[in-house]
Amino acid sequence: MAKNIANTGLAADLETVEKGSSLGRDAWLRLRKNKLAMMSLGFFVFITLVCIILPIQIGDWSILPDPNKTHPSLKSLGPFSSAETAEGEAKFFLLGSDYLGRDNLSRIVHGGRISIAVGVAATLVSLMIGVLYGATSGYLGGRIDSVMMRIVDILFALPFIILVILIITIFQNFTIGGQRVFDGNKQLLLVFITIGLVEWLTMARIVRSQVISLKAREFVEAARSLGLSNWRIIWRHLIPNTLGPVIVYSTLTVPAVMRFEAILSFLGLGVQPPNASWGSLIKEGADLMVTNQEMLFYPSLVFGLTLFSLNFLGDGLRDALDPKSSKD
Amino acid sequence: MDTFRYILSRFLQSLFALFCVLTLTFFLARSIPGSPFLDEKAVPAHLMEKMKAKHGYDKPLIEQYGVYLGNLFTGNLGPSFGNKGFTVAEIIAQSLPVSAMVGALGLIFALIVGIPIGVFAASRPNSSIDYSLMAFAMVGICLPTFVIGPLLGQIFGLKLKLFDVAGWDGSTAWVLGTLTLGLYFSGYIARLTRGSMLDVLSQDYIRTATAKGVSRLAVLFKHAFRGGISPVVAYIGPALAQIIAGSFVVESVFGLPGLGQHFIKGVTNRDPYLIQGTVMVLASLMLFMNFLVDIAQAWLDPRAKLKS
Repeated sequence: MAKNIANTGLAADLETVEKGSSLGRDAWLRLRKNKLAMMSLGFFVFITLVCIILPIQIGDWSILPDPNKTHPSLKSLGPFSSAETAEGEAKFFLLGSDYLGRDNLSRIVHGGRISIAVGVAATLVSLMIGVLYGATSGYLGGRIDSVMMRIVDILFALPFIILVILIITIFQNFTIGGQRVFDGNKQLLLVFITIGLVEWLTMARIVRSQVISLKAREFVEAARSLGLSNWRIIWRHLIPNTLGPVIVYSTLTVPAVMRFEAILSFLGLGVQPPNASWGSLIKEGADLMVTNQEMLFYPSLVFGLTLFSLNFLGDGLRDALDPKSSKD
Repeated sequence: MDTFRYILSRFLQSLFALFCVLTLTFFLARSIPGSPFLDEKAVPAHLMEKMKAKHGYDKPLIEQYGVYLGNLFTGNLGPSFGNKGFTVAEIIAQSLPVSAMVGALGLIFALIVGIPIGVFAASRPNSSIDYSLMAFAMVGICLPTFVIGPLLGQIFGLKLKLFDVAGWDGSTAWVLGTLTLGLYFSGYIARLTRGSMLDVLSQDYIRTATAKGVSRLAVLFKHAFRGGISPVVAYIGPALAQIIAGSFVVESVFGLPGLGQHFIKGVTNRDPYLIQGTVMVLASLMLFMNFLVDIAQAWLDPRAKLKS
């Protein structure tokens, strides 16, 4: 009887202990203390919500004006300017208008939607492939590791900008029955799938090298001697221990993908006009920076702040997730 | 002996990788829709046939591939259809030094600026110096290359009048190109160095060294540096791919006649030999550098060497 009580007591204790010290909860508690990281998280969530909610259109009504509507008579207006269109319609440009008389704010918000979507989606694709691939390769070792890493080397050796340019050029002009398959916005799909498929390589290498030094540790040996399967060891014991570097690298991958998309837009392969992303807006702004500074300033500011926040958030997460830093 | 076998196997793997890259590029370059022989003017059918026959385009693709590989061994990279009168080998001979120089200068600049900043920031974590250095690094990372380029041109050329922007002569393009390319990577490397140095500095052996009374500088550079620099060395491999991507932009912004420009032209002009040639050179460069990085890493962190 007494034994029974002791047992249930122990079980309850274990449960609370496990809950209290779970990696995610611990990390969250520590992250909350980091003001800079929390501000960054707040900013990123805010900018993402703005980019998701503001462009919503219900029938003909929308909060923001059409980002692609040009006003030949209202070119290059400054911020906070109200003006009348040629049709006599009153317009208010919070952040001014661009060289074709389009609303800057609306273009930035719509562009942000595309940039963030491409950044996050391509990073998630690369994260999943990279972590699983790297962990498997590093843990199994030997010939399998060797073959898997050679595949990564081969993909590395083709500078991915070249791969992406070739693939986009091929599929861009790919027609079925005289109809382009990847037309207009569908080309964006092509862009982020291709970026996602080439960006996982570094992640795989980082995770692999982490796993290789981790798997020689006692806790993996202990797990193995308990009879856990390879898959369970990788999933429950190795991958959680690589989370720190993986998260730091992921936060660097999102801005890297956004930059990559911007480079593609610069070379004319990213978002196709009249649609815009932050990258293509900045490119337009850089082209016209002598005559119209607003067009460069606002997109660069939002783009820069978003990347700033992602980077500081990553730093905060690193401190929060790294078990070693909890020592002091 | 072990080390020699490791190096040899790495080398053979690189050669195999190069072969795969060449094959992949050949078939990708040939499957771009459109023909290299099309002109603005309509080309008569019989002339088209003759031109195709002259360049072996009438044969099956697999046979063309065999001919292409055979020609490679004799150093014949084929003609460039877009640049009449030039062979691909001549174009590469002209543009490779430009690209290699910009890339190497950019990388060296990034390492020289980035590593000290990272080490310095890591030696004073969470201080105001740390924050301001990392903010500077972040500015480099966050601004796209094609904004930094023209901005530098404005600041150094128009405002400070250090360079003659109107002429865009050689030196201007070189210096500003290097700066533009290097700023991004110096930021990246500074962050990477700081992160891994902090990792190493929190290890027990560093505490032991400090407890022994080793000076702060000696702890940083004798004990922590070798371990802390390892991820930076590992990063150089993938960085090359990004340097190539960045150099595409830098070359186009500053009008430097490098490999990237020719590759882009090759793609837009449907110039298969030019595409294959430029990719071959870029891929060989990357493979060779990755090979060197692997060896350097095995030396820095012997655990990374083939364990089994």
